[in-house]
Amino acid sequence: MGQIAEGVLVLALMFALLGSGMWIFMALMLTGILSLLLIHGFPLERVGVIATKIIYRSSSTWELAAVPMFIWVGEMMFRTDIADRLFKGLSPWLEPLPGRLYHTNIMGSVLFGALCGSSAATTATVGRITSAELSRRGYDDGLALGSLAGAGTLGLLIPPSIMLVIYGVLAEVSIARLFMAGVIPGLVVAGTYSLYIIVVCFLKPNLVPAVLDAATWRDRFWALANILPVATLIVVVLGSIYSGIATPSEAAGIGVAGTLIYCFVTKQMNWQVFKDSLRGAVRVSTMVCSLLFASALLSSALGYMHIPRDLAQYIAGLNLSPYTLIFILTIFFILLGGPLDGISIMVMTLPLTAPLVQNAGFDLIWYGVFLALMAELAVISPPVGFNLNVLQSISGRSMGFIARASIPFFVLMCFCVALFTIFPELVLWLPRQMSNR
Amino acid sequence: MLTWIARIVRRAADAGMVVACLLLVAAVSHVLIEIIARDIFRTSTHMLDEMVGYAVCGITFFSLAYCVRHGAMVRVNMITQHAGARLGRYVEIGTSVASLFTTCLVTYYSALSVIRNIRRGATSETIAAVPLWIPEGFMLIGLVLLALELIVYIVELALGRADVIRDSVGE
Repeated sequence: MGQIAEGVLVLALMFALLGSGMWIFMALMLTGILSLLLIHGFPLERVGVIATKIIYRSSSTWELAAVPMFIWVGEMMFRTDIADRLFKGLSPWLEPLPGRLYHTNIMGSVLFGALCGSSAATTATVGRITSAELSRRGYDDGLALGSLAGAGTLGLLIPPSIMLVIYGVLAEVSIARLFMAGVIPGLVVAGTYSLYIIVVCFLKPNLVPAVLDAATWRDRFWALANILPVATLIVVVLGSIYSGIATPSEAAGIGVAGTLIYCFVTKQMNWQVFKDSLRGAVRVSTMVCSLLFASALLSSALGYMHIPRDLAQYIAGLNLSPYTLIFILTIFFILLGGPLDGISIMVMTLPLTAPLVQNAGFDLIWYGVFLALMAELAVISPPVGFNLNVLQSISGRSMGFIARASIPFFVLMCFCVALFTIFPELVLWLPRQMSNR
Repeated sequence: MLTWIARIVRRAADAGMVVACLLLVAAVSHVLIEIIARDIFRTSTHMLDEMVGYAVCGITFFSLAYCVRHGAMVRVNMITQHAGARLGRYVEIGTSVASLFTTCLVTYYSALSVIRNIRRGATSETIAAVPLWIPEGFMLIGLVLLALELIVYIVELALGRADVIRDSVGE
């Protein structure tokens, strides 16, 4: 059987297993095992030994330690008053802008995303306060929930990002440089969302309620005290990485310690919060890490069958321009983003797509950010969009309403993807400065 | 009898989750001790990468059975959601049997590896010289717990005593 035919069979098998409703990590593992066993003709014993070795090696990677730790930070923060503080701290500063408190969704998500690295935790934590507050003050539900769905995804891009940690482990790229690469794109996406809110609110002033009592400069400076804990934690966590005190995994440990101190000092830590946050962190981390070891197995199976190399050669033979390749990949990821979540899409497709984009001349750091953006699109794509589920449970609105409200932000994200493809320096400039130090 | 066995299997999965949580606390503690030792006392535990790597493996595998049962693992629910109850149940039994096959295969070869490492007295090639059967044992225990969980789930599904597990990620 030719390699391309083998590749098609493997893909068909994978999609059949995924479509059957099997747990995704199991479907990926079984695809890898059956591919080696039935398509490539390895004996069962060899497949078993290969599978065991790869699963063990990929699940006991030190760099992965950042995943449960950063998730734990998010889980603890979710159970504190941090979202309330963010809202109180940001609103006096953002109120003078056209679109006023809609911007608290964007800025709140940027700040919280810089702490925890998960989009579901960011959306849930920020959304718990802002969605109720904005609704109570007469802001439009559609724009409020749409901006929250879009901005909540920034947790996947703004460092520390779980997505970029997983990508770094799989693609064997420096996680610290990936974190750096996510900063400018994260801020550009956030800026684009804010700009959209400004334009829409300028065109439709009825989307914003009347000002009741404007904040004074004194109010604004006092409000900064509310942002101080988050700002301090961000500086400590990210500062520890870039000052060389800690690796990204160690910085995650520092983040946990900082969050625990914050919770104890503000008397928000008790046994129930500790237990629930710890259990929540392990649950999410196990979901993510199981996808990673399953993907490592599938990736090795594909490697044994030489499928990535042959596919890369085949695509190279088509003489597609790099932009056409990225356009095709974007459409492919958007389609996958309907039924699948972002991390699953990344771990499933990375073994096949990384050689393609590298051959086309794209940097693997740039590709990590591109995949994080694709994952952001996936979490706001129905029917399986984590952020849509989160907002559905917070707001009580229908999935269809929230998905429709998210469309403008989905389109804006696609625009940003095009921007970063045409100007890759927006992604690569900051990590290059880090290398030059 | 089935209820009794199911209860024991689920208690074991719950215990696995507790161990996973303790391992996370231990990993964070080790990271903090290492940073303090290195940056304040100019020394090191010399085994951070290795021990925390083992802890991450333990966190994932010890909690796997618990996470599967509590809907923490992502899946594409389209068929089981839109098919009728009976068809959905049959499909779920089929996919669970396939999952059990996968788990048993990896469990069997993982057990062989653990036994071989015990017999040979194999240790890690680091300063800690950890017997390799210990971290590999984390994976083995987790896989055994998962296999037992899947067997109970399949039998309960077949007898109509369990509902299809929906993923609750993002809720």
